[in-house]
Amino acid sequence: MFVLNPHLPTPIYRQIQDQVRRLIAGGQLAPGDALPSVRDIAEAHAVNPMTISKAYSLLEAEGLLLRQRGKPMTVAAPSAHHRSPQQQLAPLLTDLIMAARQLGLTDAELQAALMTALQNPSQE
Amino acid sequence: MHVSDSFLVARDVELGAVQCKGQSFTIEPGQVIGLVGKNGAGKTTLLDGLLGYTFLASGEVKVFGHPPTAMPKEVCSQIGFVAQVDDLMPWLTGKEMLAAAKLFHTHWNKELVERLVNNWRVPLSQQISEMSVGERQKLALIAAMAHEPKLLVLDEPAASLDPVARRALIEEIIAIVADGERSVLLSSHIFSDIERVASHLWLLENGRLSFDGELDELKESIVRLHLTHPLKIADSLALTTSRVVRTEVSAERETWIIRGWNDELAAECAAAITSPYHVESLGLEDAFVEISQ
Repeated sequence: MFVLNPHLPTPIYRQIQDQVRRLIAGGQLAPGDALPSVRDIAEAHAVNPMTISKAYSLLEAEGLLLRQRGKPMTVAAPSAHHRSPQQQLAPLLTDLIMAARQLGLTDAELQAALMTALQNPSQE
Repeated sequence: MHVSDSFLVARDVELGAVQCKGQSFTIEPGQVIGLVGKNGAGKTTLLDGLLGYTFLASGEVKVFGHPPTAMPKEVCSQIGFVAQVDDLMPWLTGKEMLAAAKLFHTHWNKELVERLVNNWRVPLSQQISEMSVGERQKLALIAAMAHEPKLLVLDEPAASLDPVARRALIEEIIAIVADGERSVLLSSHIFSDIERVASHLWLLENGRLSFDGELDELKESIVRLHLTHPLKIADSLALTTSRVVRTEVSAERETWIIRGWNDELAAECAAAITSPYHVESLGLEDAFVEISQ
């Protein structure tokens, strides 16, 4: 269910966190759905189990997952983790702003480029 | 976590190139510790000292509560070790060698041995002296894992293994630690394996452990900060500049290698730097090369 690449600079626990967040936001994981066990993921991907436990614990702390003794981790009810569309978009906007700064664009130029793109969404 | 739960506790270890006075480190149940360092950093020396193959010049090590040079038999059987250069007896066949190893242990997982011998195609009926380096290494690994020790120590286990056998070894290590009750300490130059299998990292530099912590923590703490000229820095960058280990400067841009990157530094940069910049995270191998220069 996950795509994990241990050789990326992004640590594996963050890759899992990001993917679970996205699967929940996209509705592929619904409240009450069970996640694969730490052991299953570790063996399927040949990655260390501790790093997977860490991802699950952080997602639990975030309110996205529920841990119940002796049962698999499940997706928490939406009220606990609902994020507005704006909040979900925020990291993408941060990336966009960073890319624009790298290119040396002013904020006005970025806004203009965004407006142009919004008016011609099919064009690259 | 209670200290008494530690499989291994080491303090102020000094031995040859290893000069860890003032440092202490432990191996806890469930950990897979990758021991990395440049050639000659003292990795093998450290492993030998921790397991009692060599007496320490000074310092103290306890393995399951006992000094490693005076371990009772039942403690020895909780340990598996594969040396960098195998110490197999060349006149035995593989089969005889495994039978001899079995004599030392009350517990022996026959299924595990059979599975690995088949997976790794170890020619058991051949004399060890006739085997390839890779085959000998596989045999030594099987002999060290068959009694299912709580602490498995591997010195460059993957050096002579092909990628398929290496992956099989990684899968075995994962299975060993999956229940959180056993641990593995391995030294390796193959960073792609360490990134997969290790939960923790010991970085041996100039005889000392310059990093002892979670692998992810090291990966996240070393970055390249790429800045574009002309630099526009509005405010003090005291925190960030104090962590710069090296810089590369060209006409258009400069790169700062930073060790100890965290949210605080990221916030300082975001507030102070108004010219274009970019933070590049590094994989383990790149991070290692950067901090070893």
